[in-house]
Amino acid sequence: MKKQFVIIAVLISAVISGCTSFSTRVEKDTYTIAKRDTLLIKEQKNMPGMRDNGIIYPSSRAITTSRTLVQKDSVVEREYPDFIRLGIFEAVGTIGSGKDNSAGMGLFGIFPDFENMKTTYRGSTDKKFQGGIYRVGIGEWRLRWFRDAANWTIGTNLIELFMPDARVERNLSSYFPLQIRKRFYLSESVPYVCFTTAFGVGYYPSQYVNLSGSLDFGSIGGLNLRAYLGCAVGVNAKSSYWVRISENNQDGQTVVYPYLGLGISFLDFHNLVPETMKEWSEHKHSSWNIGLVQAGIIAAGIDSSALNEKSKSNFLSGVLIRLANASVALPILNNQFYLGTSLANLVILGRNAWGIGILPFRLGYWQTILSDELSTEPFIEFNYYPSQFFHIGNRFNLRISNFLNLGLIVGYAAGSSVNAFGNDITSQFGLTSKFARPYIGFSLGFGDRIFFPEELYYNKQK
Amino acid sequence: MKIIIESIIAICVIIATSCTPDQYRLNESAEYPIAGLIMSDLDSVMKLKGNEIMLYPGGLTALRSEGMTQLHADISTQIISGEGITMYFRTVSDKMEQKNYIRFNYSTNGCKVFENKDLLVSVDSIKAKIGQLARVQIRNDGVIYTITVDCDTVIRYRTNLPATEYLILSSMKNSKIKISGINFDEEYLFGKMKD
Repeated sequence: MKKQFVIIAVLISAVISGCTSFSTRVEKDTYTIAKRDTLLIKEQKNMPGMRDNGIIYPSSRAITTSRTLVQKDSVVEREYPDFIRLGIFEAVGTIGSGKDNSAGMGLFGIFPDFENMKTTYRGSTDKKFQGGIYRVGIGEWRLRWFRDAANWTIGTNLIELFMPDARVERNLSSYFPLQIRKRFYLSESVPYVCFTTAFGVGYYPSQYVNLSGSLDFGSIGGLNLRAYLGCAVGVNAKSSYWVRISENNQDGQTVVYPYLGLGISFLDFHNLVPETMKEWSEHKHSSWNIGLVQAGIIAAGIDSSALNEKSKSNFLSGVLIRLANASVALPILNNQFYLGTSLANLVILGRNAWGIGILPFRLGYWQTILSDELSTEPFIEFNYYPSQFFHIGNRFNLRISNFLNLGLIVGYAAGSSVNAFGNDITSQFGLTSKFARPYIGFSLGFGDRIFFPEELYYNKQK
Repeated sequence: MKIIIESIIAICVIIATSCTPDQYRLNESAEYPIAGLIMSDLDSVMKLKGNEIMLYPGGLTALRSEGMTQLHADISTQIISGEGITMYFRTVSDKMEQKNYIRFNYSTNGCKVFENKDLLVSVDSIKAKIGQLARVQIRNDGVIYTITVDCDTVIRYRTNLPATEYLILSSMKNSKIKISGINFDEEYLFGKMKD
């Protein structure tokens, strides 16, 4: 298992470090400007005194001609997106399988039953969304076959997981599965609406094929919604990972997984083919901010720190973490209001005062203070699952680069964390029912892109 | 199992790398290989051999040898049917319609050379003949360029347009043209210098 983690870590770092090569196509044109120059030197060196000039006698005039050619190359590089789809995470909550062993992954597959998140859980019968499909590291590129037939793609994921129900031995998963898709667009303006047919093959650690059709909506701010209908069929050998970690590890498993599901994906960007012909600089942006991780360390004046239980100092007592964050601009008034959400939102003020939100609702206002560098975003946020709490605050952002931001955050969070977590979580952050605290802290946005007014699609339209 | 994984990876690589039907390469083994880009319908341009292409009606294709701007393009044209061929140089394939160019029309009605929309020269005596092979040479030498057809010079003129890597070929209305013997070489003011 440790070996697998190392392999995955190496692959992920390789993918991130080489990110531009498969996401960006660079085209280069060379222009040459040539300048010719001719230097003509005429010299007449007459000697003093009389000379005996005969009929044929060389003149003292000398002409020197020198020609030079200076050529200067002007190289123009243009960068284009080189993918049809590139995403971080997709989840689908499915129905249609494992009725007696429902895992209960919730709507979109991202509202799981936290109390029962363990491999020994065999499911229950009262859950609507019995299973889930998960994809991490999604890539799709144009597949130009059948004489360049439109909208075919070839793709893969870092990891793909089909989870029919709570019985882990029935999970089907693969690293880098092969996926071929064909899209039929119903709307070719942002956010796109299309019907997608897909065929996929996974080969390790499970061996399976997957056929599906989906109605896709997005992307806007990297967010997509999908309705799926499909079937995955595959096997887990007795020696495969999923069978080995299961209680029922005596036999290999043949899995037939018909499913109907609703899915969501984060930081998942979608291009039409004509958009891959448009330079990055000409692309439309509809969000004020999209990011992989925003992590902050905060002081909330709580007696016991969640970071270190044994520490006597309680100055920095908690952390704020937003995963897969999106702040989508609202095209109203001055376009500076935004609606935001995150895959996960952790507000940990201190030990015994914390909340976790999945897909929270966030309304904010984005104000640029100093063009290209400083901005502020007051916001109000409602987290409803698994914890229920309100969170208001303001974040001052200093853009370091397109990938990294520093922030100063102040805020107030109040609500209930709801005692629906397993021991792993409560042993770390403590048990709590209600909390209400102001805080102040610093944050770091990693893989976090802030857009400024001139980059916003709605402002470009003016 | 290992064979299955290797096969699937090989299939992925083959599919991903081979599927660029709008691109082709000519003169692979020559000193200056040529990259071709079909800028029109895929069926309107066809690569025939190592240095031979066919332009069908509506065909538009860009040829370039990367980094080579002092270009001596040497091609043989054979008009199978229709009127003739248009050649663009001192331009680039990207957003070509918005860029400056020198345009050379070689047709059964004669030759014309334009800088953008300005007519520079019209030569009625040099005409293309249907089915007949003609050698067209375009030489870019700093600010000077020369166009010759067989042994006749159509134009030798100066331009302020910067030299580029491209020769863009377009078939005239309803024309089918075979382009063969395509060769790109570097034009040197003081002769070719070897290492």
